[in-house]
Amino acid sequence: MKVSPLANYLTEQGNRVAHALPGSSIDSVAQIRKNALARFALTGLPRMTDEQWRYTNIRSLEKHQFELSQSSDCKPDGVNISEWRLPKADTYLAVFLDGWFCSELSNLENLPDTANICSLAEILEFPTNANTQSFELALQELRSMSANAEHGFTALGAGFAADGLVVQVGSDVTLDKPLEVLFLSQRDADTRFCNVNNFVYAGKGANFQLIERYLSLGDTNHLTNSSFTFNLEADAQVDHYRIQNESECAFHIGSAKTRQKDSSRYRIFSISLGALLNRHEVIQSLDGENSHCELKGLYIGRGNQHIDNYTTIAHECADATSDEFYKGVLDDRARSVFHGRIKVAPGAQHTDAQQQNRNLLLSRNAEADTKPQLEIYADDVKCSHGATIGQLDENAVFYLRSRGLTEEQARTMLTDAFAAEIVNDIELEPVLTEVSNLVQKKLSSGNSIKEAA
Amino acid sequence: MNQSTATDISGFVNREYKEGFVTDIESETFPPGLDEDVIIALSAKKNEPEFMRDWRLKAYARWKKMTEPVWAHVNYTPIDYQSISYYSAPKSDADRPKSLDEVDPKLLETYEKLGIPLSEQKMLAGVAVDAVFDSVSVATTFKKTLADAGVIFCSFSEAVQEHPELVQKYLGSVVPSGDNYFAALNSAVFSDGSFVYVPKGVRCPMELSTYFRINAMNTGQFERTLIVAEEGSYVSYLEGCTAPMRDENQLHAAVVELIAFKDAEIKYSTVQNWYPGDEEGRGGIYNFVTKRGACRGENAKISWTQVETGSAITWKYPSVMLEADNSIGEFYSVALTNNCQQADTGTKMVHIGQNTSSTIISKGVSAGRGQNSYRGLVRILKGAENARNYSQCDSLLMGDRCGAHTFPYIEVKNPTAKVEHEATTSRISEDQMFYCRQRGLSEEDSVSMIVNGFCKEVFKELPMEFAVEAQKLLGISLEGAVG
Repeated sequence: MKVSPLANYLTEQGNRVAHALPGSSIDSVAQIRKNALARFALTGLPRMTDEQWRYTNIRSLEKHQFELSQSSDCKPDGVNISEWRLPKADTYLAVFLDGWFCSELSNLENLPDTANICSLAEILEFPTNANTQSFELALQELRSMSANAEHGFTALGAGFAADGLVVQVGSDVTLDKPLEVLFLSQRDADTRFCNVNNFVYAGKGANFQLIERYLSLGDTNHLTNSSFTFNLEADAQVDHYRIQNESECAFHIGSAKTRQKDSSRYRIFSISLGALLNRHEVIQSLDGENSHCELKGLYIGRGNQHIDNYTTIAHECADATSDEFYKGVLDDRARSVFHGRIKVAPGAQHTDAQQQNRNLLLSRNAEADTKPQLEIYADDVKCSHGATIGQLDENAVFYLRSRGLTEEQARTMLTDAFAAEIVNDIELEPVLTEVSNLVQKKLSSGNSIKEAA
Repeated sequence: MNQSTATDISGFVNREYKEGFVTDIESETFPPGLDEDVIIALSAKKNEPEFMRDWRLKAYARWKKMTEPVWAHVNYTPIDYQSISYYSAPKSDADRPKSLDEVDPKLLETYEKLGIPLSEQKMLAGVAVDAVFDSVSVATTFKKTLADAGVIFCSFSEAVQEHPELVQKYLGSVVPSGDNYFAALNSAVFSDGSFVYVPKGVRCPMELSTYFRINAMNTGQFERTLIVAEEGSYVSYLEGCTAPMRDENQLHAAVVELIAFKDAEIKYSTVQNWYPGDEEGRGGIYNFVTKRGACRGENAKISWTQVETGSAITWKYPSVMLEADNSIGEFYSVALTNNCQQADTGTKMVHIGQNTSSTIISKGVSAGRGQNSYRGLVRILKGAENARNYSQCDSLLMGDRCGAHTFPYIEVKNPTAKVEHEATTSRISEDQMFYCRQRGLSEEDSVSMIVNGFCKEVFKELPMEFAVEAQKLLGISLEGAVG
C-alpha cells in the first residue's frame, strides 16, 4: 500500500510531540498513544477502496501539512464568548479553542455534586483521588479507540489524545440546564490539527441534554478530529444536539459512539452545514432490552462541500427500537454520502428499526450517493428502510407560482419545508431557533435558487 | 408463530431434492488443472478460429492477475481451480447426432426424468429446446422454424464455426474478458452455451429455452450465452437448471451477454434449481454468474426475471447498461435460501442515456439457516436527464436462524433523476396463517400460498409454463424451513 506523505508526516509528528502531551509521564497513557500511532502507521489514512469510505475521497485534505494544535495556541484573550455561545440560552458551557479546554471562557459552576465535568487534559495531567473514575473511564475508552480503530482518523484520535471533555452524570441526576460544548477554531488556525476526545457517562436514570457545536472564527482550513463516546446506563436519557458550522475551507471528521443499556433513550440531531470535507459517524449499539435511539440528520452542501454521514445501528438485544431519518439538500457542486446500516443480531427479536434517507438535488453538478443497508439475523422483527434522491416537485412550484409567488420564493419555500421536517423536531427552544436561522441562511446562499429567480 | 404451526411448516419444508441422479454416460474429460496448454487444447478440441483462442488466452492472462472477490456476504471453502477439469463432452464427438433418433437413449431418459420436452414434443408449449448436457449441446430442435424466421439459435460452438463474424463482433462487448474474476475465468475456459441472433424487425416465433444440467463428476461448467436483438426485434429466452445430487461442490461460472438495439426487446427468464447441498450444507453448486445486458439503441428494453431456489452459493447480479435514450431495464427476482444456502444477488442499473427508466423488484425468502442478501446498484450518470428508478426489496424470514440482508447502492449525478428505494423485512404472521387455516387450508398450503403471494409480482413476469414450475420449485425448496 502506498503511504501518503501526510500519513507519514503525522506519524512522525506524533512520535515527536508525544512527550509534551498531557499525562505523557504516566506509562499507561503513553502506551495507549504509542499503540494507536503504531496502528495508524499500519492503517494509514482511509482510501476509497475501503468499503466504509467508498464515496469519500480525502485528497483535498491530504494537500495540507497539518500541525497538531499546542496548548500554547489556545489564546482566550480577545474572544468575546457571548458572541459565540448559543443565544438566549442558559447552559453549562464548556469552551475549547483549537482543541484545548479554556476554563476562562467556560462556565461549569453550580453543577450538582453528582455530576462531574472536566477537561481530559487536566485529568491526564493531574490524576487525583477525586477524578479517579473519570480517569479510568477516559483510559478505558482511549484504549478501546486505539485497539478497535475502524480507520486512520480513530487511531489518530487516540494517538494524539490530548484534550476533550469527560462528563460523568450520576444515577438519577437530571441536569437542570443543557450542557453546551463549544469548539471554536481561532483566526490563525490554518493547517492546524485540532484533536479532541470526549467521553460521556450517564448513570442509571440520568437525564440531560448535550449541545455540541463547532464554529470557526475565520475562514481557516484547519482539521478537526473529534470523537464522542456515550455510555448510557439503564433508564438514562440523553438528548444530543450537534451543529457543525465550521469554515467552508475546513476539514471535519467527527463521531458519536454510543452504548445503551436497558430502557435507555438516546437521541441525536446531527446538523452538518460547514467544512469543505465533513464526515460524521454515528455508531449505535443497543445492548439493553427496550432501549431506544433516534438519529436525525440534516446536511446542506454548496460550493465544493463534501458531506459524508456514516451511521450504523446494531440491535444486539431483543425489544429495542431505533428510528433514523436523514435529509440532505445539495447545491452547486456539493456531494453527499449517506451510509446507514442496521444490524439485527441473532436473537434480537421484536426489533423495530426504521430508516429513511432523502436527498434534494438543486444543481446540475451536485451528487448524492446513498447506501442504506439492512443486515438481519432474527425473524420476528420489523425493519424497513427507504431512500430517495430527486429534485423539487415542479407541480408544487407551479402551484405556488399560480398563487402569485415568484420562482425564487416558491423554490425557497419548498426547500425550507424540506429541511423543516428535521429542524422542527428539535425540542430544545434555543437550539431550534439557532438551527432554523442557520439553515435558512445557508439555503438562501446556494446559487441555484438565486439563478432560478 | 406457535409451536404446532412451526412443526407443521417444518414438515412441509423438508421435501427431499427430487432431481438428484447421475446418468452413466461415457464422457471425454480433460484431466484436472488449468494453464495455457489446457486452454489451447480446449480451443483446438473445439476447432476454434484463431481469434477465439487468442481471446481466451488474453482472458486467462488477466484472470491470473486477479484475486477472488471477497465482498459478497457469503462464506465458502476456497475453490482449488487446479482440481477442476475444464472440459467434459458426451462421447462420440465426431458424429454428433443429427436428429433426436440419433441421440443417446440414456440422455433422452435423463431428460425424460426431468420432464424436459425434447423428443416428439415438437411444438410443446411453443418451446424450442437447446439442451446443454454438460458442456456440449447434443440436440437442437425447431431449428427450421426459427431459421425460416431468420433467427439464429444454436450452441455457442456452432456459432463460432458458422457465424464467426457475429461472435467476434459481439463477444465480450458487454462483459469484457477482464470484467471480474469469474467472468475472466469463464472467458478463458468456457466450453459451450447458447447463441441467439434475432435479425431486424423479427419477432421470434417461439420462446427459446435452454436446459442446463451438470452431469459428469467434478466438471466445472462454464456456460457462455450471447443474445443479440437487432432493431425492432423481440425475443424471450428461458433458462432453467437442475442437477444431479452429489456431494462435491461444483463450480459454475457462467457469463450471459445481451445486446438490444433500437426498439428491440429481450426478455430473459431464469429458473435456477441446482443442487443446494444437503441439510448440513455439504455439497451443492457454487453459482458465480455474470449477467449483463446493454441497451444499445433508443427505446430498447431488457428485462431479467429470475427465480433462484437452488445452489449452495449464488453470486449473481443481472445488470442493464441503459446506454441509449428512452431505454428500459427491469429486474424481477425471487431468491430463496433454505438450510445452509447462501445467496448474494441483485442487480445493477446504470443510467447513461436520457429518459431511461429501471424497475427493480426483489423478493428474498430465507428459511432454516439460509442467508439471503440483496445487493444492488443504481447509478445515474450526469447526462441521464429525467432518469427514473424504482426499487423495492422485500425479505421474508422463516425461522430465527436465517438472515436477510439488503445492501443497495444509489449514486445520482443528475438532479432531474428520480430515484426511490424501499425495503422491508417481515415474517409470516400468525394472523395470516390463522386466516388461511380457518378457510380450511392445510398448514402446508397456507405457507405455500402466502409465500407465493409474497412473490407474485415476480411470478407474473415469467412465461406461463415457467411460472408453474417456479411455484412448484418454491414449495420444494422451502421444505425443512422452520416457521
